[in-house]
Amino acid sequence: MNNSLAAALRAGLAAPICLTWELTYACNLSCSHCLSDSGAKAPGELTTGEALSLIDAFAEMGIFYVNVGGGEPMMRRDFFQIIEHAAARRVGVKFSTNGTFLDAAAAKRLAGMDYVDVQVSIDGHDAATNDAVRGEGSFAKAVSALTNLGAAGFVNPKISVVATRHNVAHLDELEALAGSFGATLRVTRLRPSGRGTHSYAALRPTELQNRELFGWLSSRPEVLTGDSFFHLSPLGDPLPGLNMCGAGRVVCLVDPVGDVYACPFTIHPDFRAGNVRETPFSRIWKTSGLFATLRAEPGPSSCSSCGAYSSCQGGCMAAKFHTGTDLADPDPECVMGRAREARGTVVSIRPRRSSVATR
Amino acid sequence: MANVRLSLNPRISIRPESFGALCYNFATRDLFLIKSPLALRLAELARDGIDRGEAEKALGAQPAQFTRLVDALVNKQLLLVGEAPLGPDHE
Repeated sequence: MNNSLAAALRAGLAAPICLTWELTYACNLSCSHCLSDSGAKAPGELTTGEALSLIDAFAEMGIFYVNVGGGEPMMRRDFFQIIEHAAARRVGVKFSTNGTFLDAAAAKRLAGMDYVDVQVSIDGHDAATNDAVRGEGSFAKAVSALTNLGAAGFVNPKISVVATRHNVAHLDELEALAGSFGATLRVTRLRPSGRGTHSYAALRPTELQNRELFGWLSSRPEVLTGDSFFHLSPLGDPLPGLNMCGAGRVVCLVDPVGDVYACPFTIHPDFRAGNVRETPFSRIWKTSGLFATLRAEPGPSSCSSCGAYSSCQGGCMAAKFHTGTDLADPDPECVMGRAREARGTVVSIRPRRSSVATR
Repeated sequence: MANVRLSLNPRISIRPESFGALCYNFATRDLFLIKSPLALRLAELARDGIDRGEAEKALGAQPAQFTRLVDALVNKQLLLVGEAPLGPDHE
């Protein structure tokens, strides 16, 4: 990517390239690294009408696609209504699921849709490794979902893996698992967000594993990474992608109650740009003071003097924030060995949970 | 060559940006940029389908330059050659 283009992207776009939209905080699983601390539905989640209007707003802005997540998005009764409206408005959908509710009928319905990608989350090459993070029986559910997609003729699903200390050694097996379902592998970085603030220390890849991971990904440009490993870029040639922090510049997050945050990993009042019930989404994107700050040229930091700064740009803002690292200091996984000891974790704060369990 | 039609790939969305335009191909999930104003004008001309010769004349480009431009946009799958544009009912 040339410098003028990189500068244009850092200065922010007229609309996001894509955004993450957590449809609900309801989830039947309780993964130990859940970035949105999901479980129970939040009070006041967007109604069907509000959700459909929001899609209209995305379409009018020319947003190419939304990453639909949660929670488990299929726990919304209007899930198909929402994604079918998006497809009708030419807003692509990349939908992340744990697979529990992806039965034969759902797979068939998805296979008949245009503009929809499905990402089934799996965090280990076998049930033992996966279920240790995602819960008992979750590997079997994900495999069942992928089997249903295959039987329905859904082309090229994705298997989405969060890289942890326990699965980096098994990337070849994960690649083979994806291959067995005709799926593309997607590997993304573990962030210390949501419940991940508590599990990060135990799950984060070691320094050596990060080097192995980068080497493995470098030789496989077809593996998707969600642009999440730019903090490792000083280890070699950058991986395919924009290789920059897109928070508030090219991406953002809309949560189930309509709060807009800078990125999926910063669900915290410090990174809240507004709420779509109070302000139209396009106005939040264009006029948020928080986003203006994120788009401004960064001031001097303790990384400025490092030769690798142009490559990693100091790393991931969310990883720093939630580990209590100063945002002007290096990423906690800095490959140049410059990470500083953190002051302590900052836990994400999301809307108070309903005491009533969802179905 | 005069009767070849150029049309915009209906599977690609083009969004204006300060540096030109961002494009997204819904078929391949490929995201790419157009920075050349000439390429953007050609894409606009092809929106409803246009004769290749007419497009060349309208852009006022040199033949070699125009050929390179068309080739580049065809290579990006942004332009379709020799096919009528499909309306939304045909997608």
